Amino acid sequence: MAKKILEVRNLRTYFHTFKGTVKAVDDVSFDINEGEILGVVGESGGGKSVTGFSVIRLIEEPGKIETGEIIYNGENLMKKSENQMNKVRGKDISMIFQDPMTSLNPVYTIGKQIEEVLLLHEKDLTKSQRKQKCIELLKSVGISNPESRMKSYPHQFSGGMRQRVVIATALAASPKLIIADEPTTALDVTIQAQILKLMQNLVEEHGCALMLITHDLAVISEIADRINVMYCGKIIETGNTKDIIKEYKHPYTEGLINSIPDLDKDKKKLESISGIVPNMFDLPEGCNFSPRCRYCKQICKEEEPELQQVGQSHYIACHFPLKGGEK
Amino acid sequence: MRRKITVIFLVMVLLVSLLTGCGSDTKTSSDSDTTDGNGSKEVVIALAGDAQSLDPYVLNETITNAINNHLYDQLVVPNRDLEIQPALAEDWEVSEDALTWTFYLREGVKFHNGNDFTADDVIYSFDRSLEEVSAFKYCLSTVESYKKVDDYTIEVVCNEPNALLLAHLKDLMILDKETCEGQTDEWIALNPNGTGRYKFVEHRRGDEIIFERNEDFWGESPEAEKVVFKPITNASTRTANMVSGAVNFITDVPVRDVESLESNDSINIITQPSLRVIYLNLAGWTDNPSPDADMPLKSPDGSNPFKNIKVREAIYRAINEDEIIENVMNGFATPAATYIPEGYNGYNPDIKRLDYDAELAEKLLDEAGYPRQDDGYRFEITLDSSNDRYINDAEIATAVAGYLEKVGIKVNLNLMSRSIFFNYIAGLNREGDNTHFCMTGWADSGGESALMGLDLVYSMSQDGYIKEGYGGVNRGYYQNPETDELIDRAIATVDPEERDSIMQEVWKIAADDISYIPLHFQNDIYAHDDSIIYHPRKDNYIYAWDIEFTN
Amino acid sequence: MFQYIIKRIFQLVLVLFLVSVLIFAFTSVMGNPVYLMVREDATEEEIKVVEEYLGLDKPIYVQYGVFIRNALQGDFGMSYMYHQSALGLIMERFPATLEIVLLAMFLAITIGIPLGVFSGAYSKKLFSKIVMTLSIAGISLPSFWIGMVMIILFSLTLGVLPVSGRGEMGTFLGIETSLATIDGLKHVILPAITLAIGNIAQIVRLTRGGMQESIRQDYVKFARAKGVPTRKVLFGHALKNTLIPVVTVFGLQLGSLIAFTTITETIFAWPGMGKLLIDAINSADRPIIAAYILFVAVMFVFINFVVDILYTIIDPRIDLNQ
Repeated sequence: MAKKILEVRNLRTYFHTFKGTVKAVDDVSFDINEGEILGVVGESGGGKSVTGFSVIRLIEEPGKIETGEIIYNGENLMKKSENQMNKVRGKDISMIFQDPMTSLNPVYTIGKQIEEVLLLHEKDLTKSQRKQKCIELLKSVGISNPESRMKSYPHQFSGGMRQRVVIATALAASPKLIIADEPTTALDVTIQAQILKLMQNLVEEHGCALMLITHDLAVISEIADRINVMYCGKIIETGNTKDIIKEYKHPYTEGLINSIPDLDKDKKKLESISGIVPNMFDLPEGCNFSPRCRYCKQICKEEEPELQQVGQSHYIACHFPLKGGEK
Repeated sequence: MRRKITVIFLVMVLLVSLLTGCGSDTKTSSDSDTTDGNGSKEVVIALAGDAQSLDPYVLNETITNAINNHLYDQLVVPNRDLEIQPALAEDWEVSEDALTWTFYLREGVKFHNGNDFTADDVIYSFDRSLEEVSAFKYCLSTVESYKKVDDYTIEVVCNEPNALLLAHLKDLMILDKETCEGQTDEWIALNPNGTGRYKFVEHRRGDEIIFERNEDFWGESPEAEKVVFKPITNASTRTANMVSGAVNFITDVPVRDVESLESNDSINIITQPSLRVIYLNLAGWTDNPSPDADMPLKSPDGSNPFKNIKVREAIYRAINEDEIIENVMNGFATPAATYIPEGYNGYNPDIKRLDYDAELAEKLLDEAGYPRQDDGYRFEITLDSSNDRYINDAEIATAVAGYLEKVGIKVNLNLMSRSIFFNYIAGLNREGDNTHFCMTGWADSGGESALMGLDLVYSMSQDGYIKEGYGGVNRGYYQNPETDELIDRAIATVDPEERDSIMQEVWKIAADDISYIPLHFQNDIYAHDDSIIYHPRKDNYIYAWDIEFTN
Repeated sequence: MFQYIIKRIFQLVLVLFLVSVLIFAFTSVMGNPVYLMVREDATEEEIKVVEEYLGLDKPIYVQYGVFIRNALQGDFGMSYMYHQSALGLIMERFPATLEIVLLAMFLAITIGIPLGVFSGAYSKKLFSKIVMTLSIAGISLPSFWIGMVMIILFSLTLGVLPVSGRGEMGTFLGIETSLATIDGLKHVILPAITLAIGNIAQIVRLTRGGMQESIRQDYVKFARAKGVPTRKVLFGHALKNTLIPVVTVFGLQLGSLIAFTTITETIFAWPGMGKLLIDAINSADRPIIAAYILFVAVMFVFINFVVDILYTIIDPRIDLNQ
């Protein structure tokens, strides 16, 4: 029985703007087990990133975590003070951001930025031990000549290299959980695969869990153990990767899977999900996906569907689950 | 929300400034003690400027001279009423023909460094006063030769009968030949060594000058043992120092502060008319006034209206001087009927001001042949004046222009900063003949109106001296052989009373001719705390020995 | 780097040359200073003698040539008014000006930057709004008004600080300065504050603007995600990125302060260079004016040079040789 490392219960993160309130994360609950890779997938604006930031409580005005429990290692993070949270961030749970070009501070050397994590969280290391560790970390993410490159500045690195540095930073204090927010989206396609592979290996090596947030279902299907599909702030389908990919039951998931281009098949047109993501200030009554769903019925427009179990650890929120199955 | 805070804040700022401005019960610290730790008597004086140099010959300027007079002595000095008294020269004789002067020097006088004062020092000082660096060359300008007769006797021969040599010599301070000979001018300025009542202690330029009493002074010892001069050019800061008790005495109190200072019980105000008279020059003795002026004189028929005495009288009467004194000078000025202040040699009490009478002025102008034209103006003139040299000079000039405009004279007001103004109206028209109507001030601390006559009303032509060196400030080109002759006679007259009556005549003639238009004498205003008593001097020189202590 | 320094020195010489020509051109229209040095009724001869003595009788380009020749030997001529070396007079007064300037800049940094950081980071809070309003006041209020109010408040009403003047001197690290004594500090604090207020306001606004932008950057969020405590995020990560414009303005302010402490020095009767300058202008004392302006030009160039070097230290992306 896998040990749960993170339990999120009824998380609600709302943004209060002068135009109105955006329910970016609306009553989301999920778990992450030790050492597993959870993929969180969905369109832009679906609430995936906000979920990630909420876990380490990095939500700023006008956003606010309204309610919910975030239980890490048995403790509710919502009850911790800012000082206590700072001990968790970077040490127990660390994060990888989307855009490597802007994640690193341009005025400090990369060595210093990695070292900062050690200074904060591994205080009993000596200066030379820290330096040694930084060099090892850089080596482990595949950066050659780490001794000299430690003194380089971010602008002297390419995008892919910078992301490696970011990964090294995230791993520096041996966290139990890494939240990766679209880590490869900003990279060239050729580099993407490399970075993903690297992350997968390291995560396995260090034995930490990974919450991989992305809009790219293809990427998820490669490395994730389980998948959460989010739409408009809600989880609408969750389950093992195999189940989701092969036996999806939600129309939205169907749309996502079908829109992955398949080089093996011969097709004239790319498939897409009709319609656009709704205005978050003006969500539809009933099911959020109803305006775009081809199976929409009257009840869908009136009543919001609850998550219901449709298989072993497979849940969806839909009034009319699909029969499921590969195309 | 932000705007509300801004408004509230600005209102508070205004309130604060109003309150602090109105607060009349400001605390004065008990600093007005005039004894320092050792119980020695010390006085702190705030002046309107610093001594430019402690080399007495470098600059001829009131503050510098007054400070240097503490360190150095002259052969003769003026007392508070400007009468000549013996100093380093104990006695003197003048020959019958007023050409040769013999001075008997005081014996037993020592310089601060212990050197003896002898005739050699006088000769050395005379020599130096004629050098390039000196601003006191005029002291010996009428002297043909001088020589040492013996260690304590000097003989001076003038090139013309000059009964007034002392008026010039009183400005010449005596240096020590042994100390100064062979040194650079810079060295002399930094190492003052004189025979005066005070010795030099320290000079922090722009901050303070410290003197201590010379215990071996040859004459009466002043009460103050230590004198500190603080140059504070900003009038408000000076006043603030007085109120806070940081100084015992301030000069040049601005008229607006007098009331608030007076309301303070421990502060006394002293005011008296100064020697400085503010007056208007008119180019009345030429057909071609100011050919180089930017804004020349314009009259309908091309003539020079100033030539007509009726015009001059009209201008005189058009100006309401009492109003100017009341409103511009806040009452701190004395109307002037002539250049000569009361109590001066040559002062003629019969010369009176022409009364203000704008109606009469208009009538006179009509009579003179300058009626109002279609645009309402009779003729156009330019009033040149400084705006930062004399007390409220810009305001006075503006008022004058206003009065003249009322009687139909168009006035272009041309105000300039002093450095440009004195250039513009430079004597002998060196920088061009630029002005036909200007406002200037004059103060002669010499006490001899014969010398003033020499400068101000002796005949002068537009093309240069008629008599070399005479009439240097006669900007109107007034020419009158009668007054010339009288002035010549006065200069050669040894008896002061006779001189006095001759000069009284000169000034009467000059006034009757309206060769210039006097406005007023500025007042000197001082303030001091009640730890001291101050006896002011007519020439606005501040001396520590005019100060006595009350306790 | 060596090449760069050489280039800058060459620029300095060029600037000084241009400045000297401008000084001569402008002061030649200022009027002949002789008339302020002789008495009003001076004769032609007296005037001529003074002119010759000062070298004013020669044509302007000859005067300029003499000036340059002497200047290259370090001699900027004798002041017309004081009859002492012009440069000597300036150097004599420079330490006093430097005292209030340094103290003012110190206040500007220690007060301005933290205020700017906090009002930038927490820009919606009341505290921030108050700071911004005060900074508008600081920039708009003229220094002579501030100086006067300070005197009225602290010297006259409360009686805790002296009205004007420089305090007693003491030695600190072998340098004689009035900052080394309590009495000296009492005298220097009001003029320094008067000078500083405008600068503090500028630095606050500049820092705040920069901070508001920096705070939004990803690297700040990333630092937070690493667990870096807020203070270090603000002052370590965000601030360093906003420093470039702040350092630029700081350099300019420093130069300006050194050159134009005139009003404050007049109000507080502070014996510094600014007072010397205004007196020299009033007396058309060209040697002092020329020496002063050239001195200030050297200061500005030097300060700018230091600022440029600082840039490279602050932001490693900057390459000076471009």
